[in-house]
Amino acid sequence: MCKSAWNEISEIPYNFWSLPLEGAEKGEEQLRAIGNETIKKYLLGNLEETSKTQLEERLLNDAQLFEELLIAEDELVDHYIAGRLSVDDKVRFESHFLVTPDRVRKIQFGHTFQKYLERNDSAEVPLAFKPVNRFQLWPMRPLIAFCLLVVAGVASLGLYWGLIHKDGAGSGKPYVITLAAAGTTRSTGRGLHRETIPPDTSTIELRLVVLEIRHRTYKADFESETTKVTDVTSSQTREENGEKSVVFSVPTKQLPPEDYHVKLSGTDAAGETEFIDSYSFGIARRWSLHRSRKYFAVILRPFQS
Amino acid sequence: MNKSWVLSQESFDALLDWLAPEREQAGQKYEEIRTRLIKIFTCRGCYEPEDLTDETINRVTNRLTEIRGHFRGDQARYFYGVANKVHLEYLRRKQLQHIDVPETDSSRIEAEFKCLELCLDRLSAENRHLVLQYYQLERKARIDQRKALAKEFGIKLNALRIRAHRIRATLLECVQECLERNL
Repeated sequence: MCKSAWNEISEIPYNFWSLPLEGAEKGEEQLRAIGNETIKKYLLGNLEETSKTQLEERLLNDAQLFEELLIAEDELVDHYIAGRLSVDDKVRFESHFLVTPDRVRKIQFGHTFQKYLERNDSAEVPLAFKPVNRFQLWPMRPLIAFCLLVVAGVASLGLYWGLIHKDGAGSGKPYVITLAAAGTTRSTGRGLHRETIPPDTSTIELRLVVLEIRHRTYKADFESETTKVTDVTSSQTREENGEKSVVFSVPTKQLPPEDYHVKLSGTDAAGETEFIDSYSFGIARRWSLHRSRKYFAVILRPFQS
Repeated sequence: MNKSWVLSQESFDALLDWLAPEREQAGQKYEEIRTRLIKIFTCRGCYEPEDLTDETINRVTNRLTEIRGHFRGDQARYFYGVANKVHLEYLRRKQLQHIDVPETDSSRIEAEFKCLELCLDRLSAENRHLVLQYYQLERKARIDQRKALAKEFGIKLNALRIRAHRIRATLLECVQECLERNL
């Protein structure tokens, strides 16, 4: 019964091997060669040696397969928590899979997430978004008009600013990065999409995509492992092909090559501030001597025997 | 093996040069190989996957002069070969490590629960809807409804699965940070 529960989840029509992966036409055929049952066996340390070697060699070069492995890990955790693993698989899960603190954290998180889902069981909630009744916005007309005026004013100021600074001394052209909210960008494995900033760039222009523009001013906080740039404000917004974004200009030197988490908040005309969304991006290292040293710290950590 | 061998800047540069002619490309390749070796060691049941990976990289870097002379082909496979040797040595000396299945600590779960709520609030409405619906349906093994959810988002089922996983990974990181701040 336990085994069939896994199979029910893993096989047709859930079988991802029969479905095209995002932008992965080339790798699709190769992916089909390995089944999800194989990945499960591998994760539980139950795969015979030849297949294991083949799988591992491919994992090193195949970003999609690597991501499938990460997803399968999460699914295995969920099945363990839900008690859907067979007795043998459960034993192997506990003795082989659960070996690192990282995976223990996944279990803890899985428990909490399942608890949240149980408490917020929205079985009756329709799948589609509830459409917004346009008359609901009727009382907000003055506010909308005001916001539009603010946006128009800000845009004009931005245009003016851009024009008078067009030939600014040595400022160069800003490097533009457009970011969708966290979780919506494609990346390989757990890594983020990283931008390589040309060396002569003095300013990074970050365009944070938002669902709607209804705030007077916006504030962004940038945080990485070692860098924190807070309270970057902006009133500049833009709309292109129906995509709305808030624009922040940040000096390149303030954002050294690292992975960043950005929190965007907005303040409306009444002075109320609210969190809007979070975003993630990375600035790629240019592998200068200085940056490489940081890696030595990782590589040279004492080897414990 | 000389475990006390120290990786110099020169050696590291040489490693990057060997990985790819462009520094950026080499750096990314290095990171990919490192991340995936860590995962491979983890999947083999090693308790210290990062240390074993670093040892593998050190050994490859140490042998670069000879490797350059005779090795042709995909560098990742060379790393893989060395990783196998490092793993064998690990197996010889390893003491059985056992991590207990975490007890259901109610206070921790409550703290984590609050963090999860905060982190879910940080998601965009669309992503929150997607991740909650997807895992709610997965919990109940409702395949047809997952298909409907994929249709709602205008993506294929596997793309939905990947996107749900990525949002979940973001949530896990966010909850972890939140717990570290609050505990």
